Amino acid sequence: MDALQKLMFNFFPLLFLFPLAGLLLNVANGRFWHKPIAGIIASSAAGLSFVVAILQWVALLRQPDGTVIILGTWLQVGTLNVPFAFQVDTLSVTMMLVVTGIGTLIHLYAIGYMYGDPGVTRFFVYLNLFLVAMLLLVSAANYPLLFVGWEGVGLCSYLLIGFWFDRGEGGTGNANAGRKAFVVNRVGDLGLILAMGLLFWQLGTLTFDDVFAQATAVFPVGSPLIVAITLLLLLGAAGKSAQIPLFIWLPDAMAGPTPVSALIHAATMVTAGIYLIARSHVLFALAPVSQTAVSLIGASTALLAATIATAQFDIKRVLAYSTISQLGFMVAAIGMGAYVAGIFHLITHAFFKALLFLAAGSVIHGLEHGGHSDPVTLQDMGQMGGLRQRMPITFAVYLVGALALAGIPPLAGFFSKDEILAAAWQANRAVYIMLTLAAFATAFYMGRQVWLVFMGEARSETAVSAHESPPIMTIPLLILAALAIVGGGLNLPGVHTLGHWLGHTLGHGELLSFNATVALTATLLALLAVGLAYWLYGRHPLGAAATDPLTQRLGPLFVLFNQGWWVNEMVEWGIKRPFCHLSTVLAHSDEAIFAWAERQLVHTVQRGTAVLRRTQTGQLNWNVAGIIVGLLLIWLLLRFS
Amino acid sequence: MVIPAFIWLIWLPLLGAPLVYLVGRLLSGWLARWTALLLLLAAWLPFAATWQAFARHETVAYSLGQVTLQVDGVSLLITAVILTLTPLIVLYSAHTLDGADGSEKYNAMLLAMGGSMIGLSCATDLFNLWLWFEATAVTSYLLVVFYHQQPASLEAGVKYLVQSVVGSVLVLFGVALVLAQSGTLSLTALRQQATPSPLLLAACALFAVGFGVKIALVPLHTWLPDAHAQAPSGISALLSGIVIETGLVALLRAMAALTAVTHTWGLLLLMLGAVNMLVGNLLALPQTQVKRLLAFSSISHIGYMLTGLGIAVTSGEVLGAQGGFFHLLTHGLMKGLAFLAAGALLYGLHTAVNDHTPLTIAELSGSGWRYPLVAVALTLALLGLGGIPPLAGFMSKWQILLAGMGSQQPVLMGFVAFAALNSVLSLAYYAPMVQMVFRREMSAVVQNGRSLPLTMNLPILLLALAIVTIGLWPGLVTRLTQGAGTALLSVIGNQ
Amino acid sequence: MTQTTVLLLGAVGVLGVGLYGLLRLRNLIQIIVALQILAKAAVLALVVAGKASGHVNLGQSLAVTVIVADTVIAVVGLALAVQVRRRLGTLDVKALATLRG
Repeated sequence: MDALQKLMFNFFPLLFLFPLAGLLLNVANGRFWHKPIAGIIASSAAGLSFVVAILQWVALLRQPDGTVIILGTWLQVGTLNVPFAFQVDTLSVTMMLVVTGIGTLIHLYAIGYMYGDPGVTRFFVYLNLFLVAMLLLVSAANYPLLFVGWEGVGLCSYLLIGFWFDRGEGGTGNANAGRKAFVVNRVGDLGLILAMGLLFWQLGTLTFDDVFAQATAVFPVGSPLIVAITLLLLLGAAGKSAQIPLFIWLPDAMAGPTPVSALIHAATMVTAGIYLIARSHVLFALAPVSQTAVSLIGASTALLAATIATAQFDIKRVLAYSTISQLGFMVAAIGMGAYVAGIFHLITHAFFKALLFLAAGSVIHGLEHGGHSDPVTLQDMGQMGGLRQRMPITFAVYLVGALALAGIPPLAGFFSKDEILAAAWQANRAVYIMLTLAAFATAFYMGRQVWLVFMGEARSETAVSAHESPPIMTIPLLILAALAIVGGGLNLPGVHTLGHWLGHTLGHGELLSFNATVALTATLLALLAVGLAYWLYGRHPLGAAATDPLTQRLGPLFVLFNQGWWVNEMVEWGIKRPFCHLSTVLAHSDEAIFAWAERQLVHTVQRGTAVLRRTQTGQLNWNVAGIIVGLLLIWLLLRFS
Repeated sequence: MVIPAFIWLIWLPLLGAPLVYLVGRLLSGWLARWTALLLLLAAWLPFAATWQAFARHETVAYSLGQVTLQVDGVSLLITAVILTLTPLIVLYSAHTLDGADGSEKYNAMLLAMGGSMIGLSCATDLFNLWLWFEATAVTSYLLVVFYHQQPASLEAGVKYLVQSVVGSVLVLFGVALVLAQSGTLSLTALRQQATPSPLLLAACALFAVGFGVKIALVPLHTWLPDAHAQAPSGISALLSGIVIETGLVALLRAMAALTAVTHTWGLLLLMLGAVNMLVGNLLALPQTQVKRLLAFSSISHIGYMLTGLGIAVTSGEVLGAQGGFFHLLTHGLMKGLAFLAAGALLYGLHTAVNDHTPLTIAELSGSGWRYPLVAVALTLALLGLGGIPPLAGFMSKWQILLAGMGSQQPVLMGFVAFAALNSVLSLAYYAPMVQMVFRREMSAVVQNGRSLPLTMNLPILLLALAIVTIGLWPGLVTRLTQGAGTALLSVIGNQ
Repeated sequence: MTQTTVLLLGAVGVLGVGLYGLLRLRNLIQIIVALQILAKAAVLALVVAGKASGHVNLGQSLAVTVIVADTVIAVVGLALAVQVRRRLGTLDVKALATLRG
């Protein structure tokens, strides 16, 4: 390590300190300042943090093997020693760049989007806090520290989903959405905790380098224990990255402000699960069963969510299900050992999905100032239409994002998705078929969305009076659009810039050659899907009160997709739902069982609570009876154990 | 004979109590408060001396006739928590007491309670254990019903008194059985002499139940939510933070002496712990009053401590005892802070405007903007209790989890997995409270809330800092928890 | 059956009477009396235990200590009862069941 590199690594703590300082400044003085200043401070903090991330990147360019930066001891218990150690290697720096780079743009955008909201200071405090936690997550050099970040981002997500806690269904809808996200996430967290426990039990350490070095020696390939550990890690990843069966929280999470949806629920936090698996790739390599499970879960999530997205009317819910679906692509990729492809898609997806969410936010923002404020109407694509003329910039960037997501060459999404498909072609045909179908559905629902929102005539008063958003919002959109166009250049077939770069951390050797058949099939299917969308929505633009033509074409399937395969209702109503509806779902009985079990759990807890509450009678005589019963019980336990 | 320094740990507060009462009665409440505070701070001096002697592996003991008091790692840990919390609570209560009749009794009782708890932790025979236990209990009854004008306080006090007395009589009966069977009450002698017999087994059960009433083992817990919710907030902090924990220490001492009688008592602790965690959490879920919710959460936290200690007793894993005692310490600070913060809000929103209804969770809405310091402190305490890293509560739960995993016994791993699950469950009631505090809309009471005096804010700030510090550098208290853990294991290790 | 066993069983009987009283009684004063009965059972047990183990002095001195402690409890309990009567106008513990659930 030369002196200059060392110097640059010395700046590493600033990565956290800037957002931390930003949030402290806002907490301390938020009440006294003019509101927009909070946004400016938070954005500068994020921007400075991005600069630090770039410094780390430059340092790594000089010697890409990475380093571990230790800032002090944290936990020293028995044989366990967990320092405040941070891993600066090609994988973590890539994540840092994505988090801080996209984060900065979204902070800037949020200045405009949240302008005038009374809680704007609180909003930026949470956003900066999120950055700190997310950076901790991606740069930790051991599992416990990663877990701190993991919990931190979960907490921020909870706080931000419920940001407008007083809105939503019945006045508590948003708060409930937040709680749902939190609880579902905790189920996943439990998996992560137990995995850490097992690792420590077996290896006596939780530092990444040591764990990976010892794991290969301690665990034979496919031994039950390593399978258990990796499956528990998978559970954790499934919770954070919204995979089957834990994906139900993400669509509801759209109750948060749109910049939050873009930053946390599309570009960064939800990819933490992918990062976790990629980081633990050494462990997964030892458990082929788990790898197959990972790729199958990813692929089926990709397909399931894509079908649901085709039949949504809420502009943000389409994107939410699309995010779940794309996360499924990434999970499938890393499950097949195509880590570079997965991370590559993670990056390009961060570009174009952040773009799409922010552009959707721009649409909502434009409509909001048209007079309406009911969020349901504001986000209903049936009430939009004809926004192309009224919001030209938003339209242009949205189109870019949509094409990138649909996988039309030469936009970013084409290259990354193609790598995943090519990997699947080699590894597992079932996965390949599911992913290809999902890609087809993706191109279709994006086409449908663009036509419904921007083309044709305005279908409501609100849409007529819509107007373009201010520059503070459109400029980040333009930058993201540019990235969505050229992002594919990161890992061009044959050049593999990203592949070589990540290879320093993830191991060299996996550089997929370009598969012309796969690429051509994917492109043709995407074009076909866009054509189909044009045929349905473009030839005869939807009238003001017309129903979606897809309703007749798909019949009951449309209802199925529209209702999200009823996964949510199953969780809501359990087995109370009429059997006619359930019959359509029975083909996917595993989900039904999951939903039933969860419902039963909630029931049991509620029933148990109710029964227990009755035992707290407040009657003195009854309380004394408790003591006598306790005496008998304990005596029996001692006597007969 | 040289009187060792540590005896002043007990004498300072115990002799100080009547002094404080007299000063308050004859001179002024203000002076009494400062006397109490000074005495408690002065007690840190003998603590430091004791600590040093202990670190040099000297036997720190004092005999008066046949009664011997001896310091070990557990006593040091308990004393440290008492000496941290009590002065902060004297300070905290200063403002609320002004004008209340009987304020001089309050501080005197606080001192007496602190002194008797320290005495309890140093007792070396069963009867003294009971006696100190009883002294602690009597002072705590009086503190719980401090607001004797309030019917709810009286109700809580009556239930607490009756159940607690039943418990203590059962302990005494157990003492009698032990005496009848083995002819000695000294813990060390018992450890060597006791052999399995039905009478001693019955004594074990009586100890478990008798002390169990104080620790609020389910189903002996019914008094706790009433007493801890109705007591003055400073007292709630002490009751939840340390008083029930001293009951746990008493139980450990008594059971450890009779280890030869029943080798499975570790398993008993684990099972009781599991039930406590579950029932406490389930009962906390539907609560609408802040302090009552916190009280139920104490029941579940006792469960975590029992889990850690149970692991240690069952497997001889020192990490488990260390984790259990660590959780005792962090829970004392966190729950103390939670009650102080909730009490400060209760004061600002209700009591200060002469409203004596309990504080509900809904009324917390928006309080974060009116009382930022208290709200942040409450948040830290709640998230810490819920086990969110990197706060102190996570560290101690984590240590218990590690101990369970490290024991490599499937049963123990099952118990810690259950504890982790319960920790998840508990967030279902902590998190909404945090959310409520930082809502944008202020509830009606928050809008009319009074400002809080410095004497309330300062202890809250100090405790919050302590929690964050311990969370980031748990190593700071490792020597205390390690000492306590080793002390427990050395007692039961030679079975 | 030895003398000690009989006496110990007697103490257990007194304990049972006290516990039964606590289960059935509703008047606060009567409840405090029941508590006193409980305590007396323990005192009796201590004296018997002292005699049985050959430490008569020890048993009796413990018993005396317990009687003192026990009186303190009775005083506190009766003081509470006075307050309850004054604030609530009744001594029925059924009226003391507002805190529940």
